[in-house]
Amino acid sequence: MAEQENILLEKVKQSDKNAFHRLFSDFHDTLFRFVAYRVQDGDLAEDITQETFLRVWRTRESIVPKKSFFSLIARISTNLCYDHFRHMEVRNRHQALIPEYGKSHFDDPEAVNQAAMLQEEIQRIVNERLPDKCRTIFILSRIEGKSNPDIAELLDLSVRTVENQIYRALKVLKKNLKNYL
Amino acid sequence: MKKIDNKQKLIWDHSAQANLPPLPNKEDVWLRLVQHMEISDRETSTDQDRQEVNPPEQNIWTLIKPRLNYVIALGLALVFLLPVTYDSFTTETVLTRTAEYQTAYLPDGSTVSLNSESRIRYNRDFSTDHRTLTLNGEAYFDVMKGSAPFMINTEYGQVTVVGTSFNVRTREDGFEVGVNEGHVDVSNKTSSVQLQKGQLLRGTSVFSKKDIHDFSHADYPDWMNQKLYCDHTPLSEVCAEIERTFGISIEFSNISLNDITVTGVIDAQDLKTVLSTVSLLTQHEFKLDGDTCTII
Repeated sequence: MAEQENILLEKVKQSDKNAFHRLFSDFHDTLFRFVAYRVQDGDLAEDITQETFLRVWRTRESIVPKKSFFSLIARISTNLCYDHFRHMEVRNRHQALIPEYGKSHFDDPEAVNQAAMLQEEIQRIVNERLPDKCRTIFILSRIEGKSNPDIAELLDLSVRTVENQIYRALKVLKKNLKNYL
Repeated sequence: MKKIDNKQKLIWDHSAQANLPPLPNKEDVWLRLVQHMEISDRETSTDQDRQEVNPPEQNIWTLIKPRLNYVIALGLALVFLLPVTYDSFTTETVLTRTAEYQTAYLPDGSTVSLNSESRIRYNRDFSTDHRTLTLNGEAYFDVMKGSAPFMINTEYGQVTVVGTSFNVRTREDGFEVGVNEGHVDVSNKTSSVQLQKGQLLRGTSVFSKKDIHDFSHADYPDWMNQKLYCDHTPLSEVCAEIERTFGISIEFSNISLNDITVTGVIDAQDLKTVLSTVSLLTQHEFKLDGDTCTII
């Protein structure tokens, strides 16, 4: 799969729209979910996903075909997410990441679904507390369900690095989820 | 692999769940993306356009040398298909499906807003010096002042303008052009008229000055203001517009219902409002079941 990606990127560099369409088809859904996990808004995720591919196309001459495509679009989309958050007030940003049910765990814990709260808290910590690369790997692993070797290939890393990053993510999560466990 | 404890296992299991918004239609996103890509490419140099056309030619030459007889057959086929293939390389298309609206930005700075089930086509060399496009369906135009006249070809006739805002509607039931700003020429082989601000032409392939009316209502055109304006409009036409806008299908329980006319300005922000208003105006029941509405 890395071989094919290489060839497609080479073609995109030379303005081959069909090759670009192939890459788009292969990666759109994964990128959308990746962004959606971060911003939790379907319309915004769609805008950012589209803008990411557009930026790749605009700067296609500077693509390095050997480098991982998903790393590239993960980086671009993450930056676009940061841009978005910076535009919103800090207070609004925290509100956007508050669990849907609107109650914090200091209110009536029994009344609210425990599993759902835990899941949303996990999402918040992954989005706010993990470094970029670590978060990308964790999301690919848990949300996309990819195996460690697949992630390693997708991002051009060693399997050992992927395992370490996941372990690191779990440490951070455990530390921050004391109240829920 | 380092071991993880129970708490981490719990986190591990739960982290796979996430309430994500639904995926958009990939091909719809692609269509929109391609339009942006083309606008972006035109804004930079034109060299990239030439590069796009070149690679296919290179492939053809490497194939030709060992297979000359196939080339001759291919050549004959191309001669017949040439107009079609040439068009597909040089024509830009923007279209909307049922229940879709879209605004497109043309290379000269003009904008076109398309109503549902509509399509415009224009040549790649569309620019401030040469502005021609083809329209099927309905669209609202906001045309930039430019040296070249802006021309819209439709099956009923040609609309020519120089910097104005106006609506052009071509559907099965006929043709309508209405001007909000500026003036517009509408012509075809048999007829030719000029419309001023506040005037509206309604007709078919044959039209004349008699078919020009003054707008009797504000907020023209109705669809851009989420309304349906009806003036003794046949119910079949009203239903056709509702079908296109909301993506449902409407069935008449008997043919005589076609003759009913509707008059009024209907709020078309959502399906339920439209249906209940039309129901009230026509004194008939509109039964909505999923995607289908039946008029009793």
